[in-house]
Amino acid sequence: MSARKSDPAGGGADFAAVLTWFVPGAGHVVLGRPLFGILAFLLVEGLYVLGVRLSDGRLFEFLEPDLQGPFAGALAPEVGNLGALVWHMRSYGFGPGFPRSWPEHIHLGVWLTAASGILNACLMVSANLAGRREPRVAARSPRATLQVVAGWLVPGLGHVLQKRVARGVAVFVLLVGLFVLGTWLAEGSNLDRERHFYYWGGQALLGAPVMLLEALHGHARVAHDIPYVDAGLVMVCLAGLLNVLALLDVFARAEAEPAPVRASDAEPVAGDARAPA
Amino acid sequence: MKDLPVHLLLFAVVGLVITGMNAVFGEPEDAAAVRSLPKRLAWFFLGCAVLAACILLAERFLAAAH
Repeated sequence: MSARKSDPAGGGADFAAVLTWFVPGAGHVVLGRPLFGILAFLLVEGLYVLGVRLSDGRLFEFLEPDLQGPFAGALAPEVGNLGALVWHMRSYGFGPGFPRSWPEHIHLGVWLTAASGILNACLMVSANLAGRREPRVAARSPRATLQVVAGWLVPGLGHVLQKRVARGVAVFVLLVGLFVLGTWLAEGSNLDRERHFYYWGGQALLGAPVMLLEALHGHARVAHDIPYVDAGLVMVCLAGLLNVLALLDVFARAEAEPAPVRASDAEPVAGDARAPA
Repeated sequence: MKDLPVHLLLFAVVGLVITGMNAVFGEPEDAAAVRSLPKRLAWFFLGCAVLAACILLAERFLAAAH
């Protein structure tokens, strides 16, 4: 975070990030990048709307009645796209209150709404960096955002893109290993958002490995007692939450490392933060 | 608890991952992160042992159900 110290006038950056939280892309529009902002809005909200269409908006019907409340979505990945989450809850709520069959593609749909929330959090990273007054910090925005998105999709990939291969491999082995062990202990019962709504929200922060295993082995019928299901659920959720630490590490390095220097901009700026050698 | 060794083993695995990620986040350089790992592991498991002892004492003297 050393670059932030060299760029204390970051109020606009913070405002852009918070604005993006409510309306994807709005932060970039305010920062004078309307085309990027509109495209980002279409991508993030398009994912969310497509997810709602596929799931008939019934995501929060997964919750048990005693968990259904005004803040039920606060610990779901969709909270990264707050405006859409609020619209979703106000429009669809918790359903009619009696059991009915799920739409055919509901699991794909709820993955899309979750991915929309996580991608919008990455867009907030982009808006925050793009809003810095120091041009060289702002110039790091696209690369930093790409690295954070990559680190979500494949744990450790953000580090690899930063040429920190050993660290990336260590992150991948630790987190995906913990996730696989937890899934084995839970006998795959964790790979179902309907069954474990909030644990699923934690493990979704691990990206593609979760998507892949859920596509291959998810939503299996549980017909017997699973002895270590609780330990498994804690492990998979913990693995996802620890990936947030890894993403913060990726972001901090991306924020501090030197941006590509153009010929017309070759003189170093006083106080500009540099990555450690 | 009949499967205490299994629980301890699982806890050790989770502790290793938590401490490893803590080292990744806390140290910007790989070599420093690896060097700090034994000390971090020792502190983590010592802290957990103290916490477990406090909980067992509290259970023994404050919340025992007879």
